[in-house]
Amino acid sequence: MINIKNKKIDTETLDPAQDKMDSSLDLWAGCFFIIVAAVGWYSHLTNEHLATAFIMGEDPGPGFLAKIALWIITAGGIGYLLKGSGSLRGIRIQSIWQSMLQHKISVLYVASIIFLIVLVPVIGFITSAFLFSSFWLFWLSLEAGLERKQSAFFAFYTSITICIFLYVVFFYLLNININ
Amino acid sequence: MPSIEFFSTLVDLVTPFALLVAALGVALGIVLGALPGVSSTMALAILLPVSFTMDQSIAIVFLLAVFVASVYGGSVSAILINIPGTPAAIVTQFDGYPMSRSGRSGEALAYSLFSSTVGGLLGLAILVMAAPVLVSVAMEFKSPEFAMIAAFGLVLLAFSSNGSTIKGIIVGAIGLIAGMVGFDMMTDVERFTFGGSALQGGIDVVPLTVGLFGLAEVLKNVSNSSNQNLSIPKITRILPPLKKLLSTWKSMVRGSFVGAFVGAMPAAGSAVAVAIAYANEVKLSKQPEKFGTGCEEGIVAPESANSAGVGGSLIPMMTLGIPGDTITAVLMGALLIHGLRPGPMLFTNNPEFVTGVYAALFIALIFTLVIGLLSLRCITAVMRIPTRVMMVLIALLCIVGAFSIRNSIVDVYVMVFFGCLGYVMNLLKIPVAPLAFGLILGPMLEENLRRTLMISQGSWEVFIDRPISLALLIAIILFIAAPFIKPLIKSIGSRKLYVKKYP
Repeated sequence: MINIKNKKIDTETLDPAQDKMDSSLDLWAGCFFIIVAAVGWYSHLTNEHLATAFIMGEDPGPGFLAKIALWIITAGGIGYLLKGSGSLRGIRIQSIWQSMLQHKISVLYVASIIFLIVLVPVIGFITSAFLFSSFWLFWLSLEAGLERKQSAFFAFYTSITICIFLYVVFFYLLNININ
Repeated sequence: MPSIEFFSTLVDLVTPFALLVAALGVALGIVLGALPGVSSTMALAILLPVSFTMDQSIAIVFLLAVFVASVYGGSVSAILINIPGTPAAIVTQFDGYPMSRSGRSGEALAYSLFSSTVGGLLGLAILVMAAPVLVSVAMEFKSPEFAMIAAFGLVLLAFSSNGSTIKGIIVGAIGLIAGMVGFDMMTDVERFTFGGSALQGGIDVVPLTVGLFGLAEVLKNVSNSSNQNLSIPKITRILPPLKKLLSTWKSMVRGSFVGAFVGAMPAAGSAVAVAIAYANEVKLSKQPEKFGTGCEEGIVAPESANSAGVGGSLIPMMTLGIPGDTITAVLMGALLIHGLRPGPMLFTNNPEFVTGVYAALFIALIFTLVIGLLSLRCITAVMRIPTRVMMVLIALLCIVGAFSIRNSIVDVYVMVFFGCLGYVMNLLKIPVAPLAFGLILGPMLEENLRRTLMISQGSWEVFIDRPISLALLIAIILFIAAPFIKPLIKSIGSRKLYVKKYP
């Protein structure tokens, strides 16, 4: 009974698959925090104004809390890197690449949003929004199993409806001019 | 006489335009809340820009209407298709979906709607009664207390975020940095602008929240955006027998109190409140085996708790300036844009606005009941909107929303940046909410901390000398130490057990 109980405790804390997944997540989280900290420290340490700022009385200055926050991020990042370093063994670049490929639609989606923003000053928001929504609705309709012609019709009419809605609500009623 | 002020504000607020805005907010809130994948926070974040051109009082009517209605809307998909529209509706599906499967979907929605209204009204009553008491205490607070409250709120919110507490604290620190971008308010020194002019104006809370809670969710759902094959039941009978509805009043009241009190605790959140309310009902029931099979109390208790949590969560936000959860963080961002800083001073400087909030919440609750009842039959049509259409529309709304705050394209890029950041953080199971809390509470923490040190001439003892500040400091230390202490106690316990069994 005790043995079973002890075994249960062991499996809860030392499930190898779960443990590996957790430590791999810790490793990536550590990398993420370190990158954020590096960008923060770069901006903080290269900021000449912080050194020359006029500080009144015992005010700890504009860099005080920033430094504390950056140290927390740095220490946390190093901690998670060390915690997750065990998962580095046996890791293959190919498997990392494959897992990254799972997010290609999301990456493409972000790229198309940035492209839309860049296009706005050239062709206007409504036209850019129409291009964006018709492309994505066509693509996602195909993915959902609709036929090519059906997807094209669906994307076209839905995009027109979306653009009319955006124009009426934001441009006409709320007077927000994004162009 | 707060009741007289409340009714006079209510009468002032009841104009045709305000009612139209409330109806629009409720309709949009129900629709967005009912759509799986669109949380109340996301609904509020993407509809925030609509309120920018409105007067303060009308804007708060609109935002609270969206808030209250999306909370109810979350239960619609939980009941009809067994997918909670919002995380807090998870418990509602335990009994709502079985009731719907037995051909009583209309009744299940009506139980949810009535209990939401009762819960919301009781939550509002608790807010009206509790807020002045808390404010009278908070009026005694000075800079050290405010600094500690901001730090405590930050730690508490990081502690309760999904995922690890330590990660939550680190993300809170990133939020603090995000809040420092731009000019320092005391010395006018630029911070974290990378020498350019684009970030000199700082990071506004709206692009950050729209990116984190709007675009990041869209990116998560875009690769899985087909809901074509959902079978949505037809709604036949709507109103449940009055006797049966009234027989659930005890569950409604109990659920409402649980919801209001748990909701009032910063960071506890409505998901915790509904779970406690449901567990409490099962415990008190004479027939606990009925739960999970479509019993009325199983819908009524969590729904009233969920709705009462709205009033509860407004208590710390309105009185102390601490957002209780992500939804109130977005709402607080909206108030800041309208030039209102929540906190005890709001009650002194803008008492008419405070009563306006109470009146707006009342209008929102009544409109949710009326529009909810009228739309019960056609809500199934909304559920048939393909997710891919919503994902494209929401992405476009995020862009327009981020732009509309300051008519700046930089804010759109900031929104996209935080959307990507939120997506990556979700993948790495890093909580995103503390980032928003850090941005909101950071300036309050920094300003009061530096002011305290200036007044005390650099002495940190002031935080220990003042009892409330000391109590908060101890609480902060305990919360930070908790994740380290817990495994330590566990390992000591297991070592003792091992030594006892194998001496």
